[in-house]
Amino acid sequence: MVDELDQMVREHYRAMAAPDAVRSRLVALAVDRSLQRRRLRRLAWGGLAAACLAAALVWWSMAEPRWAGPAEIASSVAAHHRLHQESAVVAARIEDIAQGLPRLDFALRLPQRESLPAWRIEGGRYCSIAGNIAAQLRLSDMHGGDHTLYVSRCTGAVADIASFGSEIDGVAVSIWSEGDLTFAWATSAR
Amino acid sequence: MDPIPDALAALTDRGFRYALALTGDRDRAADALQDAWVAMLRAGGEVGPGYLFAAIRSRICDQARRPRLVVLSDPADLPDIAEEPREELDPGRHRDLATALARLREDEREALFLTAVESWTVEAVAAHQQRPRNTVLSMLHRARIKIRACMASSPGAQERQHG
Repeated sequence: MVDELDQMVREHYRAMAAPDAVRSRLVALAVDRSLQRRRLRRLAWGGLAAACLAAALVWWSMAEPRWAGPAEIASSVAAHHRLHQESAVVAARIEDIAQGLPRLDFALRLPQRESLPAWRIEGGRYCSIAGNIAAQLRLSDMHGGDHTLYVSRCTGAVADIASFGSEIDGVAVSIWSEGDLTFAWATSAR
Repeated sequence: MDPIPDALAALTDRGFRYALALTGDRDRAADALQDAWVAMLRAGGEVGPGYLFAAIRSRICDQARRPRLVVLSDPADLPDIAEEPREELDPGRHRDLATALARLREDEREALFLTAVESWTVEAVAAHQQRPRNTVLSMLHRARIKIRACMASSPGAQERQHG
């Protein structure tokens, strides 16, 4: 009896349905909301991915740089020497060159090494060695020899080089430190 | 057919029937369903009968607490919750049942609807109505007696008996 009555009640209510207009409106509302949420979720994931990428870039840029080794620095010095770039300051005295390159973060001076040939200064310009700002001096000797002297602070990658010598594509390169400065000498082999 | 809109359409019908069981009035049921539906979507949780039914119930209970104009009328003129049936049922018995259901108390009709139509357990109904299980059992028993008595005494039933 209970089952029969419940069955009747079931049939009675199941014959009812929400008005078509109401049903369509509510379904459309739910579908819209679902699409909107999916779009927002996609946007949030995109934002998160962008933030992760930005964080990775920041971390990468702040991380300890990978220092170049002496051989790489020597190659760079030789390549610069071969370019024979024009001097920004044309002067024969080191003091005049230093005055013409005021952005240097060290007091420019000449090396004390005795094994260097006799030379004279022709001019100078800014350059960089392994990320350090440097002075690139153009020199010549009495035999018409062409030399380049690089001077930078003894920090970063160059700080580890006490003395290094190499010949790269016909350019003899020496790198050494004196006090707070690192010097690199490049000479075209004859 | 897309299964998601179909499932949503089925859910709107279930919500509407439940609201109708509570109110006995199509317009109020449709209003309560729409309000509850919007609240359910706004809540951002799962779209399902659990939240929807609770939201419908709270809206109808809120409306019931507000003073409103009560029109007393003959049971035969009570809001016909059987109007616009989708399937062909025995129209006489259908009308008698509608009248009998309309005479039940709101909580009796709700309990009967949830157990008979939505197949809820008595425990689930008790939790939903925040009543002891035995009270729900008594309510269901009373509701069934009232319906049987009402249907047995209806002119249609007597005609069917004599016919």
